[in-house]
Amino acid sequence: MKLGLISMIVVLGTTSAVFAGLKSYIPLSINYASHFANGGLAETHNTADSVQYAECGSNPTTGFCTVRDAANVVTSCFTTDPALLTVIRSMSPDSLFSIRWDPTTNECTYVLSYASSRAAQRTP
Amino acid sequence: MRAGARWVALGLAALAATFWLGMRVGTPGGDERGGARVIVERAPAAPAVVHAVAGVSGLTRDDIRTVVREELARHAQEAAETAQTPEVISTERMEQVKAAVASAHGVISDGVARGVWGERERSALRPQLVQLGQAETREVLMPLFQAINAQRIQLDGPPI
Repeated sequence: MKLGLISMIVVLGTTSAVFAGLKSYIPLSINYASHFANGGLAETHNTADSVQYAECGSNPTTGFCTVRDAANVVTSCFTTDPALLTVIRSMSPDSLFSIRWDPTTNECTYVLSYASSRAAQRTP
Repeated sequence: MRAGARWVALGLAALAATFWLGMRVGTPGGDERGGARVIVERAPAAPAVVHAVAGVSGLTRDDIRTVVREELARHAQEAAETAQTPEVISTERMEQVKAAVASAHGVISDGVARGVWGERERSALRPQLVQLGQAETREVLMPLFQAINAQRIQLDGPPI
């Protein structure tokens, strides 16, 4: 009995050590009035619905980011700015991102990509 | 005391002898010392004169002028050709870009009219996009992204 209690305490202690660290849920969020969106690529992938997505990509001269919310509204911006292209090309499937666009031209005016220990990893 | 004085006298004598020898041997032209110096004035060198080479190929002044003119003309022509080349390329490039812009506009207009933007449309657009500069790319893509964001087109996959 005593041995079992000690074993349980040891197991719980180990588990809490493994899962330690701040975690934040960073889902896809789109602000249409202010023309920006942010979220985590992995966390958008992990959402329960099969509607939302977020993606960014580039060819040698042009880049784009596209997001689709749960209501199936698609928003996409493009850029030919070499600095923004560099940011887009730095993204990984688990990146967190933030984009801003010009509603008149639909060009991306800002792209941020970062990695964070707080974010969830992609699950199949 | 007498012996010391003798040594001093001997040393002074040796010094005097060394000084005398030095004067005799060390002076250049020591033998002419006191003799009349001879100064020879030489006539200045005659100015260089280039004589025409009279031989098998005997070039005259006119021949040289002709050769120089030919060389100058050749260089001028080469320089003119080099300066013109970018203009020719630029004109061709402009035509290519114009054609690519027109074709890209056609592809996008067609896609927007049908309300679909998928692999077929992207495949048609991509060869045009790679020929465009930044300004043309922006001009071409604005209507496409406007249609996407107005939900007037069904986006299937990436837009470009």
